[in-house]
Amino acid sequence: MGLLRLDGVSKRFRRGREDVVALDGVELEIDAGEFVSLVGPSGSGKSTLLHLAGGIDQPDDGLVTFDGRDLGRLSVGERARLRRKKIGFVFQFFHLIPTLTVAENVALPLLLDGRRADGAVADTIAQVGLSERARHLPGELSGGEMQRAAIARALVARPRLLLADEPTGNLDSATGKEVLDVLVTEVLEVGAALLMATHDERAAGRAGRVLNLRDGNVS
Amino acid sequence: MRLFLLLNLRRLVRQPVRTVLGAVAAAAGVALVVSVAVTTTSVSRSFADFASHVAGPAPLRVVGATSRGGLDESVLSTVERTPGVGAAVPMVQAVTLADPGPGAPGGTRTVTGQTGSSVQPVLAVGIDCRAQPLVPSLPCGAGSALATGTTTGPPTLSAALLRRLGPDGVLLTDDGRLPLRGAPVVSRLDAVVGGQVVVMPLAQSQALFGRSHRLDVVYVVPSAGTHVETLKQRLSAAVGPWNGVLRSTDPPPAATVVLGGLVPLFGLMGLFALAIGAVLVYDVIAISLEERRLDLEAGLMGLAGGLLGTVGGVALAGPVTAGLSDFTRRTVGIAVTVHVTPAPFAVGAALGVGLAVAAAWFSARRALRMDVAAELSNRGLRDETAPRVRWRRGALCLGLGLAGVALSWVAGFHGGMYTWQSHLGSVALLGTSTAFALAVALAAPGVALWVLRLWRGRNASVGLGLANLVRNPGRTSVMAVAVGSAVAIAFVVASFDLSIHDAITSAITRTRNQSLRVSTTPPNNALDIDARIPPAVLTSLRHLPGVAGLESGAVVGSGHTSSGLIGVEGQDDQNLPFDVVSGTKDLSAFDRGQVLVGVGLARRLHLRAGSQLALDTPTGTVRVPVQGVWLNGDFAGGVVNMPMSMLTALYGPQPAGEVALRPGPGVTLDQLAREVTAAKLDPDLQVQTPTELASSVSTDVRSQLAPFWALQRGLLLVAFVAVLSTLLLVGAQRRRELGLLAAVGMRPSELFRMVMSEAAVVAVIGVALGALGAIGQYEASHEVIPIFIGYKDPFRLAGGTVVVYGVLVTLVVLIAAALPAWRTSRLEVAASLRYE
Repeated sequence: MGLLRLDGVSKRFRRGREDVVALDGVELEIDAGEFVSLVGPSGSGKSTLLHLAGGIDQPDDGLVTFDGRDLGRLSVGERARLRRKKIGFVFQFFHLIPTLTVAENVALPLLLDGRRADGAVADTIAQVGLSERARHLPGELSGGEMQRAAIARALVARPRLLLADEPTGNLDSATGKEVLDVLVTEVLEVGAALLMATHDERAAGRAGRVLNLRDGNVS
Repeated sequence: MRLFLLLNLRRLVRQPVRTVLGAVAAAAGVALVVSVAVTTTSVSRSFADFASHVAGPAPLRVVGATSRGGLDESVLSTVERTPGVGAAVPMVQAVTLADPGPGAPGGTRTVTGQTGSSVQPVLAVGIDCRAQPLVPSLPCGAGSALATGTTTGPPTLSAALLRRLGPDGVLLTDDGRLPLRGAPVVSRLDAVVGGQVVVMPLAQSQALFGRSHRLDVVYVVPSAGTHVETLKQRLSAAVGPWNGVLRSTDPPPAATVVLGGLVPLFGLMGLFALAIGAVLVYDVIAISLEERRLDLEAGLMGLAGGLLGTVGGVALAGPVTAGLSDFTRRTVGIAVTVHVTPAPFAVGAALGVGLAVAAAWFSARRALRMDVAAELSNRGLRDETAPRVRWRRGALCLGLGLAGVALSWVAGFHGGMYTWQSHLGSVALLGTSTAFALAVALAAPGVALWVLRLWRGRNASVGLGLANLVRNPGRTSVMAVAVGSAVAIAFVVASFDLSIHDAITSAITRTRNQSLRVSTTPPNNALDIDARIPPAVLTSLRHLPGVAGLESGAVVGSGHTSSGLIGVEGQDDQNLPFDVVSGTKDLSAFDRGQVLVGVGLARRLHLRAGSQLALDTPTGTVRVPVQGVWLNGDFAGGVVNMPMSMLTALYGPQPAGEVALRPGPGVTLDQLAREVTAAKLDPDLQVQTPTELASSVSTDVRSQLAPFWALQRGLLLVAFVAVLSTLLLVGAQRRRELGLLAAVGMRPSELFRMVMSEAAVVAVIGVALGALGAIGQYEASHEVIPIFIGYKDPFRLAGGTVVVYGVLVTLVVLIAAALPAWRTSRLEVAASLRYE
């Protein structure tokens, strides 16, 4: 059984007076250590799928199973606890806390979990090549450095699944490549699965499997 | 235009939380200012109402040199002879007490200082048939009491008073108790001073209230075609400068004294709240500004807030006015009730609109000056990353505050007896308040940063809450100042409360520890209450076993304008208890008629040792030599002290309101008190030991702080609104960031805790800094207080109040934070991240 399974997952939104089908009976399975890219036009439901996979939203129909657990049966708090222990998120806009240093931002998931953060944080920051910047504040970093800090934050708890939503969308191509290298290398090193939504064909091409999301269905 | 209005209304409806926040923020600022306006209006309208009921068509009134029986009867004929006078109506208006009978309903208001008693102030009006031009329906038929001028029998009561007193009520007079059983009742009197009124023949009132050949007032109706202002000038010339000619609606001078002191202080607090409200409205508006034009939208929001604040201000005016009313009922027999006119609503609405439009204008100006390139390069993030903690400015404000304290000391030196000291004192007090408030505002984010550094590595939710406080120093400052000011005002008022208590206890036990106070009137602010000790009771007291001596004193309020009011105190005893700041307090010189004056009077009339004080008396103006200036706080320092014999010579015999009984050898004060009580000379006679007297005076004086406590509650409300609106706005602004925190694993309970931590920390910082600022504020107030009250109370700090009100304010803040915290915890994570 795969690490992440989506069985007949549907999600609808209401836009004004109109019902919009974002996902329509999606079937998907991702194994540990697998790198999967999700491509599709804007509004095709890529972000929605990542949100459902990470348990920050609930499907209208179907089941989302992570690590053998039906996310629909967990409370909001239990899903949050699951995320900080086993799921990492990377977003297009890095969303680092501006008054916390890089090290403190990276330590956040561990601190939320009540764990000591010293060694793991330093190691993870070193992995993404930001040791020199560990005591810097986000405003003192470049865009690429901020995204690397965000990746470190996603990796620090050694998650089993990493969900990345347009991680290079806000970076120039050279920096984007650099960040993607870090992401792919580190994810594979910790043996996690990576599901990445992207518009960038070159980035998508680095995945072991590329899924196309169109009209609410994965092909 | 209609479309424009419609579009703006639609915008407001689409953003209900922001609209409500903006309106509530404006309301919080407007409420205190409106409460001051309503209180001021209520006072003037209450006196005008009284005038319209009593004076009827008479536009002018002639008053004498003193508040009680200040007009010599001969003035009446002078008035009548003045060309242009159509009718002159002599009247006695005595403030006295009424004692309910055994069958009276409970719950009547007690007169402060008379523990366990339910006596209530009553206005006793003495008239005769010459009052018919004012009240045409007066019963003046042949044989009627008013026509015959009888001096016996019960007076006419209002129906309301009969209900309050019951059938066996008793009116207290200077001549003894006057039973009211069988008194005629006139329902129309219910409209006069809330029905707390009795009417009796003029001659009877003169006999019962110590006004032999004296009157309180002569109302004047001009003859047809006479211009009122012209007549006023003629009358002023005719009656002499020691008497006064006033408009019938002018309030009595004694009643305006308290208002004159309170309104500036209330106004200062109101402006302070208005400033906080303006910043809060600015915050609300600044969020949406980039998106659209806000002039009309802000105006509509401000209008709603202004009207809401007006309602709050009217509610707040209730307890403030009640506090004033207690004083005016005892001094002039007139209750002050809340009068709500359209004016406060107009003022409130205009303030709300002005506040919101000004905030919108500042926001717009800031947006127009925005550095677009800097914005696009994420300047906002850098600003939040390294928020500027303005320690230097904070230190500068602290220095200015301390300089203000030093100037306050200069202003209060020698009791502030020089005119320049009065001006300096006001400036120093205002400057000190502003400087310390700014110092608190500037220090709060820095303290939050310091706490954040100490907290690093500990609980993440609390740490994030602290980080939020650090990254928005402006908002942290507003919340801290709102919280701190509520604590600071409580601390300052409580410190004065403690100081007053200690000062009174010390003064009374020092100067009156060898005598009992025996009286029929309250021990404080009873200047004009005509329920004095009957002569027969005085004689009996003198002859009681164990009594070695009986000393009496008297107080006369001289002057017919509030700025010219002088308290004239005569005393038999040989105590000159207060500290002299200029000249001497030589007892032999005092006995020779060299008087001592308070610092307020010295400042007003530029009096020094060796000056001559001009005093108005019922028979003319006399000059008395001044030997010194001292810190006597009666009449806020506008007082002159002289021997009792001198006062009697100037103002005539005065019925004793209270006497001091000295026990004979071997008799203790407690034994003598039991002796007086056992003699049952008069049911209204109070006997107080020095300790009991100190307690009742202290309680009464401290009750005058009630309006300040009411305003302090108002500031608690401002703190509530400040925290509620700021945290809700922060939640709205950081929606995506909160979504991210939830995405990386922050549970709803932790999000809730983060916001509550933010509130708790800002509460603790506000309380701590507010208390520190309040120490300086209290010291400045303490130094300048002789300028306002003529006396310097001891320096006392009510440290316990910081703890009590610190906990209370923190609770208020946590309650205010509960809604934003709950909303944050219920965040729809996917929706907040949807832009990603």
